[in-house]
Order: sequence, then C-alpha cells, then structure tokens
Amino acid sequence: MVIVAGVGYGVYEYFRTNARTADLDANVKISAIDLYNAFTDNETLADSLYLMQVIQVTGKVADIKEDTSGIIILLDGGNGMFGISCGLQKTDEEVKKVEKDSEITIKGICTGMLMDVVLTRCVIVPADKK
Amino acid sequence: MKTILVTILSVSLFAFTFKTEPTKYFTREANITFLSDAPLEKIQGINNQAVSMLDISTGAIEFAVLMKAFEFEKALLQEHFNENYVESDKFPKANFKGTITNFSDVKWTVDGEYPVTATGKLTMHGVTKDVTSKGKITVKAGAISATSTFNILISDYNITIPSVVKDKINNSVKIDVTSNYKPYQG
Repeated sequence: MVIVAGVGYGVYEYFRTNARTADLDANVKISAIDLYNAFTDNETLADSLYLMQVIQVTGKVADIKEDTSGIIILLDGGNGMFGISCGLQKTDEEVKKVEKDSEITIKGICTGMLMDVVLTRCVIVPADKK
Repeated sequence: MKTILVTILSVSLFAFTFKTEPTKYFTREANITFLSDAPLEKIQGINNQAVSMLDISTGAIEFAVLMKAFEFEKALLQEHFNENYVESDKFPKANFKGTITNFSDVKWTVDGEYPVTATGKLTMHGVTKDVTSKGKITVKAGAISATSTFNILISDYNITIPSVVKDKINNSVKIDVTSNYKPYQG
C-alpha cells in the first residue's frame, strides 16, 4: 500500500504542471509605478519582497505585443520607456479586450528585473475580482 | 531652373538634417529557448521576455535574460532547473555581449535576409565563456529581426549533471534566439 502510494506520488510529481495563476491568491497588490520604482530604487530589497511572489499589479497599458510564443503587455512604469513586462498566454481570451492606454489589473509571478520588471504566467484580473 | 534646383537642394538638406535613421534597436520580447535532447527525455525551456539591444552602426548586440522566467511544461523540471542546475537565486541573470562581425554586409534599409556571425561573451551561472554563433538578420518593411541557433556545453558553465539523471539531461544544449527589434528611443 505504501509502495503504491509512493509510486503514485512520484508519477503525480513528475507530471505536475505549474499552478494556474488565476487560481492563486495574490501575495501583493500594488500599482505598476510603485512596483517599478521599488526595483529601480533598491533591486536587492525589491527581490527580497517580490521575487517569485504572486503579484497583482494595476497600471496603464503602454504597449501590447503578440508573437508566436505569447503576448507581452507592458504596464507604464512612469518613466515613459520601461515598466512592468507581463507575459500572457495567447489563449487568454481576456487579452483580446485590452486596449492601449486603458487601466488594467494583471496577476503574475515576479521573476525579477532586467530593464523592466518581469512578470510571467500572467492573467488579466476581471474588474469584479480586483 | 536655378530656383527649382535651389528648392530641391534645400528640401533635400532639410530632410537630411532632420530625418536621421535610428542606429539603436531594442526589444523586451526576445524569445530564447533551450533544448536538452537526451536518450530518456527532451527538456525544453522557453523565455519570451528577454531583452536585447542592437546597434546597427557598430554591430554591437546584447541579450539579457532572467533565469527564473524560463517556463517548462513540467513544474518539477522548472524547480530542478532553478534550484539544482542554474541556481537562479544565486545567479538570477544570464547575458550575452558581442558583435556581429560582418554587420557591414547587412543592408539595414533594404529588405532581405542576411547571414551573419556574432561573437562575444556569454555569462551564465557565474561563468563567462566566448561564444560564436551563426544567424540571420531579416530586414522587412523597415523592421529588423534576428535569429540564431547555437549549442553550448553546460559543463562549461560549471553546471554538473548527477550521474543518476545523465540519461535525462544532455550536456550539449541547443539555444534558439529570435528577436524582433524596434527603434530605441532612450
């Protein structure tokens, strides 16, 4: 019985996929400008606070870019060029409704900062769930 | 006639003075994938949020990527990748800084596909190694894109594969890079 349970757990672990971000509660709710400023002010401190956390971020859509592998929405970080780079699945129906310059809320996993703060596995948060 | 000539020259000079072509290009959506093809398992990691800068006046080209932003089909592989192999808490970023050695062969304003070679230094897992890769620059309707495929040995970057999983992870990893640039307005 223990062996069967062990094998079952091993198989489950091996094939386990990442949890759907939509199902995860946000650890942090923050504006895009505040999140961007947190990283530019002190990246080490921001890493300690936000890295691999589920972040719900609200901001103005500065750019939307779709390519073969996914969709990137850039939320304005307040400096005109950089901000929060949010990676979404092409299958996300909510993305099709997003318009440039509109204010939206996105939930994703913070993986750090390059020139933008990068969130992966993002989903759009509907207005009634903010 | 003289008036017409002066007018044409004036307009040309005005256009020359005020319409300079951009020399620096940028993307925050560069796609970098790696593939380990071992006898018992194929492992692919995908990252479509790498940044890249290209200077067409010098051929300088740079990439930077967050290791934690690589996505895998299986969560366990992603955890092992970050914790056991690339140690992304300790070495969160990888980057390439190099030059397209034959950048002068590329007609940056003329549609076409141009074979190029980039040489430079790839830093990952705290180790910097010289890398040379062949690739292609595509110019189409004013847009510039770059693709390249090359192999690295992960042992070169002080990443060791435990013998128990040596049939699941290939020491030679194929890297594919695709970047669609737009003018940098920094």
